[in-house]
Amino acid sequence: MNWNALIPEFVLSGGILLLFALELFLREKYYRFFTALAAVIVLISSFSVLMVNYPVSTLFGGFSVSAFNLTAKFLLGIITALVLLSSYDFFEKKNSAYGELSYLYLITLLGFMFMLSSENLAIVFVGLELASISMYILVGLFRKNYISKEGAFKYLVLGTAGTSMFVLGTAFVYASTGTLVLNLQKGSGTFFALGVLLLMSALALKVSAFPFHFWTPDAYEGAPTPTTSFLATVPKVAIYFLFAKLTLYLFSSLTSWKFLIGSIAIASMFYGNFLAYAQKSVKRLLAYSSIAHAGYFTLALTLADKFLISSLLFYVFVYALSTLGAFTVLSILEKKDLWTHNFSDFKGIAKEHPVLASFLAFFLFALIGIPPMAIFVGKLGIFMGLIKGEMLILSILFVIASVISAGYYLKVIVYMFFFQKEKSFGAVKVSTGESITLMISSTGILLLGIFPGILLDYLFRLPY
Amino acid sequence: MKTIPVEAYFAVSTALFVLGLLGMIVRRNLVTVLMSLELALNAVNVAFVGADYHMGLVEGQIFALFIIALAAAEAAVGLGIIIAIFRYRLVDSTDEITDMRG
Repeated sequence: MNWNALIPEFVLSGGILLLFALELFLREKYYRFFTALAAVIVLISSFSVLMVNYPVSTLFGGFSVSAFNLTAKFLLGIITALVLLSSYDFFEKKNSAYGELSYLYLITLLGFMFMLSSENLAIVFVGLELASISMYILVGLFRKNYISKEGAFKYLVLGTAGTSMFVLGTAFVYASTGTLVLNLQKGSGTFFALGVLLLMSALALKVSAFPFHFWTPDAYEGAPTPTTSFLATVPKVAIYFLFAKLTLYLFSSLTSWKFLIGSIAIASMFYGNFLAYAQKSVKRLLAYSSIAHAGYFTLALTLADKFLISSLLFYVFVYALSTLGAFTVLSILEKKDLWTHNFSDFKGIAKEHPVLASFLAFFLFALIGIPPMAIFVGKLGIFMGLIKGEMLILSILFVIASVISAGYYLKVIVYMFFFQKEKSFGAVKVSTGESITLMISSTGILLLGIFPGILLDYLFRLPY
Repeated sequence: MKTIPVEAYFAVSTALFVLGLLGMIVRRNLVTVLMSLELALNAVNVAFVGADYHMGLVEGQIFALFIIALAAAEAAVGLGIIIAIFRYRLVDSTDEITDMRG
């Protein structure tokens, strides 16, 4: 047995048990300490991927590490640590400092790590469920707030429907190929096609692509804002890594795959972008923007092409950084009493909080895809990949959808900078953790935008 | 002796699965919605065990055990959330938890 391959998971599991035991004795008084400790544990765990020798397979072939999934674990760890740092002050101010919050984020991360490392569909399922169940709880963990429970229930119901589609799809694939282990196999027949269709629907549900997006706006709006920033980033990155792997191994051998995923992509791009204009709340607007982004991302999965998939992974990571930044600004503003995230609340806040408003404007410009920011490089990569793969119509629709999306991001910026203030809220302080998160995510976006080679060249060289 | 074809197991399993999803959409009571979801999840066990019997393997049966355990975990969390909703609003119908729309 090769235990070396499991070091990041061991560190994380040990940390979870430690936090669990400490929380029993020290209670919620030490909430801030727990969160800081959790962030340190995540960072240790994500840097411990450097100690793992790869590629190797262990636990009877059920668990394998490669450069591909170690990269995913590292990136996920960084984002989770940033979310944890930005969360503590919000929960303390809202009198919702549950000690469980610190380790539930870590359990979600652990589930995703197992999911990404497994070549066996059974363990992929267990990892995905470990993460999903913890996320249902996280959405509901907001004291004295009814909306959060409603969001959690809707998320649970639709998430479980997705899970059951995932297992039924696995059953069909299992019956047609006779194995649960993923390897480059060519399946055929009705059972295989049905299985791929169901697995694709399940993953599309988890990344909130169009026909399965219903939970997204409600779960995002109901969840406490730091949890929303977690929901919008970590599962997205993790599931796109899985989606890319399954596309290469399983899905792309289906002949109608291009058509299936292409129609999902087009539908979610346009649906997300049009519905975002109708929103009254900025938090919901960002949820619809994430549906639209699910469309852009799934575009890159139409072809099992290395160039497209590397640009997809780059794009997902920088998208996660800018969404994290935007939601962090929202959570700082929400610490004011009576703040609701409605557009009217955002009127003229640039006068009161020039720095926060500029940060939000920066992240929204990044989400539009304005050049010095890294999302531009991600969009360009997907566009070039689609052109190279002779998917001209998809690439033109992609550009049109991106242009449409600019309007609603700009609307928020216009409300912040060019309107007069109507309501007055109390002052708000930015905590150390929040400022660290804002600084790191904005520098990350700028740095990766100006020197995309740092990450992109590395992703291109990854063996799949 | 005639053996049952594997398609038959999958037909039963898919029928139960669709019933579960329909229940989730049609039913109004929160607990019944949860029960329908459990039906959809556990319907897949029939397919796994049937495929195993047909192919003479065991992996599918192990997967079925995983599904049973995880379905229970999900039901526990779901019931917890329903109790929380009930404590805030004293409602138990999906028609009444519609504060967020759009």
